[in-house]
Amino acid sequence: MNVRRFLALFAIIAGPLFGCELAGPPIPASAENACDGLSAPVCAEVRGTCVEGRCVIPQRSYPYLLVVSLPSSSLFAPGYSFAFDGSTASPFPFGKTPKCPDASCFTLPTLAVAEGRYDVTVASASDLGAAVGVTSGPPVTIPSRVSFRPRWLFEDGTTYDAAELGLPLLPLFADPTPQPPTATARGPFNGPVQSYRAYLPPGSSYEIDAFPAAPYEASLPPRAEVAVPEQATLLLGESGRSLDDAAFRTTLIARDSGPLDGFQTWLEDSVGGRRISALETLRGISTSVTYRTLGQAPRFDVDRPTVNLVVAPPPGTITLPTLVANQVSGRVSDSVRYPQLPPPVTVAGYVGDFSKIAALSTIRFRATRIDTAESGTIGRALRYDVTVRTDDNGRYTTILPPGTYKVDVTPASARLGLQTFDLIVPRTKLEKTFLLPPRVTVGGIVRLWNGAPLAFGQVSFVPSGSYRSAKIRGEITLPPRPALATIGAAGGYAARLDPGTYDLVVEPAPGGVLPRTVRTGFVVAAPVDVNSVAAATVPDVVVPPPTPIPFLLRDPSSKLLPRALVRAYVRQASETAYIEIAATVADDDGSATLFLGDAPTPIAPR
Amino acid sequence: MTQGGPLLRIRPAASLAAALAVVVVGVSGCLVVEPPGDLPATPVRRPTIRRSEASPVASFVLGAWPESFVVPVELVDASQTFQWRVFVDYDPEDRRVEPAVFGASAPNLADRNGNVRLVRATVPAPTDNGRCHVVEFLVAARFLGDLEGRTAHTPAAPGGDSIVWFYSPGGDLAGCPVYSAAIDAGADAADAGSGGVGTP
Repeated sequence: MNVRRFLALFAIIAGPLFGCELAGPPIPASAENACDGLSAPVCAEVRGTCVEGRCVIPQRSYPYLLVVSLPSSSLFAPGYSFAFDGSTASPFPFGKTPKCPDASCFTLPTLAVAEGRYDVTVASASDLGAAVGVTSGPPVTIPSRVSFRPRWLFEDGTTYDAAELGLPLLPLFADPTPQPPTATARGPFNGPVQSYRAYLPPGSSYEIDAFPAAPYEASLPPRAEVAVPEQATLLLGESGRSLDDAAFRTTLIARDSGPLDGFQTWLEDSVGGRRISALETLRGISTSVTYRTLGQAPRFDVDRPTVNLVVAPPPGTITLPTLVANQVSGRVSDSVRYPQLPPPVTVAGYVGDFSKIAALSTIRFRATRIDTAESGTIGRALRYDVTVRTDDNGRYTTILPPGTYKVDVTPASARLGLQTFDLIVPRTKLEKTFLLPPRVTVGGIVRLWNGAPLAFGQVSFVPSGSYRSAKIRGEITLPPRPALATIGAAGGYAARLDPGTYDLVVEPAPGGVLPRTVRTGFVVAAPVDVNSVAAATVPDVVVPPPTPIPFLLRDPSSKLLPRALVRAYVRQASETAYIEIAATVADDDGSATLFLGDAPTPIAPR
Repeated sequence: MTQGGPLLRIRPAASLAAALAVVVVGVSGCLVVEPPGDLPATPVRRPTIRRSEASPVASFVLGAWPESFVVPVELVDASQTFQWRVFVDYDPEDRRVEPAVFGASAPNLADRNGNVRLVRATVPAPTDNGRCHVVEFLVAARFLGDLEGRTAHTPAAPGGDSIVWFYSPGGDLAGCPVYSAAIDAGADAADAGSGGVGTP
């Protein structure tokens, strides 16, 4: 058979088979980010260029962080997250190894090993009242639970807890691993040696807290420090590793109105709230306490005091506040007095909407000042925080020490907004009703750079970064609840929101090539009465062309890393907080592309 | 010449047939002998969470409240829409427990191959940090309607999937609720895939 006859036969047979293509579902032009002859001038107007039929902005110049989170099925560093400074100029600091020559090749660093033990000399254990079951010989290894909280360094040299900033860098924990005792290492009662080991992403410093495990948590101090992880054996009792000077950690605690039996006291880090001393249990009307701390002298710095002295009532006690006194003199106060308090009172009432229809709710009472029998400022050092729930009829009852409170009321119903109220609790029974505003209906339009509506994505309303900043400053605020809205075919969306300040994250439909767009600082005002308008409009949001950032992920031995989640974060202007601006998942070959949009900008007032 | 004779006789017929095929294909695009019947509808399958790729990973105790929970959800049919709900400290005895956040994930028509969809949920942090909390992320084609005035926690047929995180600032699981979502998932508990639910 010659070629022509074969082709003729093939045409007869295959023509009907291949000649017909069934049309798929229509593809919205906006989702394709198409750049053709008509839209090319518009693309140029928004600083874009047409590349392979799509409008892109080749480079954007704002600093961002890249966080790579590996799946728990990864052979390398399963479940770990790595963070790096990024920029469009040099986004991949660990790239370009012999097997990874391309500029977009991203090689993750080897994990660091942090291992050590909490050792205590027999003499120190005896001094501190820790029964270790031996009276002589080498130090004893105490079982301990160790946590590593990643810190993130800002340009001004200050470091913050990375998770508090909104970065997905969560604390890691190392549990004690029992090993048989040896001639030089042993556990309590000559038992197993329980050292710890943890693998940590390198490059960051960590807040390392080593808490003695039961039954030693009360008698031995925790070790708390900020350090780059390394092999670290804590030896308590040897030179340089002894307890802090008793001169600045001894005080006399007294109670005006009864015994202190069962009260506990300790020192805590006023910034992170972590305990930095051993727990001391009090007795009698007045007790001298020497706090057992280790390496905590720098925290007593006169210029930047970061130590609180805490006197807490016995666990399970109600109506007795906790005394939290900041230590500002460079040392623990000579004496601390737990004041006499007036009798607690009953506070009852109900929660409803503006029409006084009952609303199931959760109510949190936070004291800002507790009344004491005499005048003075000690009332502000007393903390009382209790949460109650209403019944089905919205009614609640609780008992509170008289004072001034912030009351956070969170309704179960999605139609009502949460709100914080100021409340003064007098010295007599109080009946108080809390009326909640309706949630505010908020809507807007999302358009693409070419003017077409952005269809089928979603808009996330998340609490503004200002709430994170306030929390880091030590202020207690009630952020609004996050909400989601689906974008319709015409680019419109609507959601019902609590009063508060939000950041908007416009997320195009998944799997596309369009970037996220973030707008910050959208304020939703609370309706003040039943006649108030409970609606607001968000100014139009325009999604710009993307800046594609392709990359290839490899482990330290240059093996490809599949299925990693890669996210980009930007620090919010004038806030101590980061916000996520892009995310993607690497495919089975370790390759993926991030589509960056513009840096977050404040919402312009309408 | 004698060998080429039959070929010459066949060639006009073959050429005519080829030309006819080309014309038919070119004009009509295809030959449809009879209208095709409807294709059998793909049965709706439950969405499946790719647990190992969730962030944060569920195999670690959470020592800080994450800014968001990211869950990849795998679908048999990329054009499927599914619902998701996040419960914090779900209590089957308390009808006032509502999902902390919820939403639906619609397909992207421009991404016909995207059968793994990333769901990101920002969940309000609990106010009482002194104890363990359980975060439960459920996905389903749809959930049962409200039950006795409470938002349903149970997927409707053909079932759903869930992933659970434990949040304890001290890293200690002592005091964590022991309720397992697998009980509530009911008939589909065995179909929940490897990894299980309610295990850290």
